[in-house]
Amino acid sequence: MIGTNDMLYLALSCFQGRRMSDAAETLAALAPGRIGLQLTPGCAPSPITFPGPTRTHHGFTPHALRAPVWRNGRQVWQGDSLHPPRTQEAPEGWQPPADVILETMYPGYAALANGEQLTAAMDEGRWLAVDVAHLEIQRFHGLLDERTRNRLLAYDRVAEVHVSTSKDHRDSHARITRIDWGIDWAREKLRAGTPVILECYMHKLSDEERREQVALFV
Amino acid sequence: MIDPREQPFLTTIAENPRDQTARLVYADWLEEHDQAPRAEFIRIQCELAGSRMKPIQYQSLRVRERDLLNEHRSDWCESLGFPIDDARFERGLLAQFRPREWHLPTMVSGACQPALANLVELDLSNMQLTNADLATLAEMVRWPNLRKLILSGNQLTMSGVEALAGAKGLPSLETVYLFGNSLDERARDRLLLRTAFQLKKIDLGECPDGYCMSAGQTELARRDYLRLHLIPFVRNYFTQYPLLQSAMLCVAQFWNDEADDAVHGQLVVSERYEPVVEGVGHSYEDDHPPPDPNLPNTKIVREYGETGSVVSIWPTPWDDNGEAIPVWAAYSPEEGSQEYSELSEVFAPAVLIFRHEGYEMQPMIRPHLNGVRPEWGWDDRNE
Repeated sequence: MIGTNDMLYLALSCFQGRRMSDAAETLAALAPGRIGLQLTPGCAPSPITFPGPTRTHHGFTPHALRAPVWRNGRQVWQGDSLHPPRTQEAPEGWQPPADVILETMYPGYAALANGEQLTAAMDEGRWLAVDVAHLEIQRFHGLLDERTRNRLLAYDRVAEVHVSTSKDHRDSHARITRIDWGIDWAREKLRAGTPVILECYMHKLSDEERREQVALFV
Repeated sequence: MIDPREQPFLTTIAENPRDQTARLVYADWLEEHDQAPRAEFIRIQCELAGSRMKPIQYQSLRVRERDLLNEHRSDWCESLGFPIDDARFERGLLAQFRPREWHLPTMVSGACQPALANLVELDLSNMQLTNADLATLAEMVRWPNLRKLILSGNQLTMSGVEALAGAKGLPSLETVYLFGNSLDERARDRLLLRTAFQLKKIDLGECPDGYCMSAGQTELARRDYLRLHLIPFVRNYFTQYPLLQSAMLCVAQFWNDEADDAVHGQLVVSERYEPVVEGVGHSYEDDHPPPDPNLPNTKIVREYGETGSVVSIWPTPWDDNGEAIPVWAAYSPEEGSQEYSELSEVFAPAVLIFRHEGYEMQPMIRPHLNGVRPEWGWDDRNE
């Protein structure tokens, strides 16, 4: 029986800007019964009927396009995983709360934005949501060395893996291919029981191309 | 003011709103009485509203329509005897407007009634209208073709609603906006009971979960923005560059990982009678601007020192991560992004504005975003 961990989740944000119900229905049809849904912000509120497991991510609310997550460095939203605050939104000396799953980010964020911060988080034994596209952005900026990246790939407290493709410094959430960096690692993590979340924008992909994205994992 | 001799023509047209002939007879009379431009305008708009025609003929009529409006629209709007905004003409006659100030005696005067007999929509929002005002209006006016009446943001209570329910001269009324008054569901119940109306929509400002503005509220927010900010801004460009004929507000929604789904606006000004978005370059990256079909002659100097047709609307209020979302996101294409080289890749036209200061809203692309609450708690913080 498939558990809720060793499962591919599709992010609602794959269809950002659509009705939540329309996005969920389209995603569910890509692999009926074999995927979960990551509830992410950016879709228009409407009642969602989804038969599988769900996880919540950074600012999702059924009552608006998004909910605030941080106020002056204080966490005001609860869910499965979240981004750290942006640098300008965090008070000086800000430290992340101990018991949350933070996502690896890129320059502009107050934590997990470079190799040094990733190392500190691993030293503290924090649970992380690792976004492979964000790691590539860190590498593009020269902020993530090979040693730290390899340590992260072997780190045993990875709570989620997020996959899409970035372009240089841009977090473009583009479609993935089998040869993209981090995809094989994400597939291994999925097989080992870590939830993997597919986050590429699918608006302009054909139904066949969308199914191909899912088929890379299930 | 309207010549009293025009009254029978206007009354006949109002009684037979679908009859093109009555309008053309009126046009003939106007031509015979030294009002050739108005006559031509009625004929052109009737033709445009009529049977299908070849694109070249349609274009030619549209150009002539715009020329006539450029030259005469302000005079025709002033003919009521009080200043108006948001005026729109249908088949040559004034069909819609918002008075700049509330002046009840003029609006219900006998002299004004013929000119208003063919009204389709009247916006009386935020006029400090009282129950007594509405009672007078309801009793005295005969506007047989009025389908939409906007009464939001006034001082109305159930007493005013009772008066409206008793109106005898509004048999075609289908839509009433009442939000922004001290009213509740009883207003809807009362008006729906009124069998002399054919009311289909009463907007009291209710929103479904996840939305912060009703459809009527977003519509008026757009009109307010255009009237108070964008049209005066565009007017300055038209004054500065006499060859410009039109402008176009284009909107895009940019996504990112934070769902900071900001809605951006860009203004394209053009020498064409209708601007085009295709071929317009990105406003920031063009050291060598691409050919811009909107500007064969005029070079607009933008705030960054470049030339082109795109001018920033930043000098006008535009809360791109706040109110712009419920008000304008519905007009933006999906999957917007900051990565684009031509405007048409992510922006779509929302409003066309013409030299004569009339405007045309474009169809919504994603109506499910109309009025959407941008952020949980956003409207609480704005109260």
